[in-house]
Amino acid sequence: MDIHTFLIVTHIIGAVLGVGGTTFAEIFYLKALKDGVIDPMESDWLRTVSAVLRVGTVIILFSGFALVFWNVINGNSEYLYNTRLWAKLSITIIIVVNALLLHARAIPLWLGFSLSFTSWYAALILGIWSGLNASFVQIMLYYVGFVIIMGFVLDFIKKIYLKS
Amino acid sequence: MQTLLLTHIFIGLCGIVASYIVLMGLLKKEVFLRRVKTAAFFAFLAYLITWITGGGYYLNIYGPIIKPLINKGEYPWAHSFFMETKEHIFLFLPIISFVIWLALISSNEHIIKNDSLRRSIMLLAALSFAISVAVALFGVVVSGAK
Repeated sequence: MDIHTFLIVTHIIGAVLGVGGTTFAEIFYLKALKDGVIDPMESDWLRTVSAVLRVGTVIILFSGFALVFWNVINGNSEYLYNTRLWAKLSITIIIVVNALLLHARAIPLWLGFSLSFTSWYAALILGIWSGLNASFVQIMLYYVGFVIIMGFVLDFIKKIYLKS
Repeated sequence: MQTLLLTHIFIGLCGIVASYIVLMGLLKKEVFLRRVKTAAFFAFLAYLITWITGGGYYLNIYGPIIKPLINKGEYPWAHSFFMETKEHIFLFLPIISFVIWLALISSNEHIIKNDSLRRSIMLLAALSFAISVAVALFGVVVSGAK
């Protein structure tokens, strides 16, 4: 396995941990809300999932910048002006700032969860979809649209689940 | 010389992560002071090392080889705006992170009881985190311009 493949695989592992983490965070949170009380075991699950999310974030951050370095030293500097890369960088910043805002309780929970959920999936999809031909603004507009849609979808699932 | 650039990027990222841990630690209801103080020290140390390695790379490679290429290329603003800004705002980082670390070790347990002190240090931590992220992004812009 060459260095480039290793970095790509590591980067994908980071994104998969993030996507898995945010999905299970949502599931565990819903299950915890069912009886209206977050008991110690549920709290422990949420803490574990939160740790997985942090590990995923650190992995995509370091492997992402290692890929940037790899492209620079191999003369592929034009890659750094790729709109997909900048969309992924912006979404990674949103993931990190969203985690801070959720901790500070400075953002409504529905929006925070929707941002986290959509951002991780968007980062994974953008990473895989190498043939995507769209401008930065187009990608980010779709992203904002999906954040709003996911907010409604997650709220709808929550209401249905809590009624059942 | 590539080792200098790699060290600059890697240690710089470690600094960003350490700044984030400080900010996150201060935002939590229960502050784990030892963890926050250790992260603050590592952030300061990382910014010092990344300053030295970045300076070495600038003097030996960027200044004599890359900068003329960028200035003659399609994106001269990558140097004239982004690199110039990056160079100047970066200088705040070692100083702010040192102040944060100093404030944390001197205030000790007071930070848990004194909300306004905690908020002030938190603001400084948020500022250093924001600057470090901006500087990293500017680095990507400059690297893509040659």
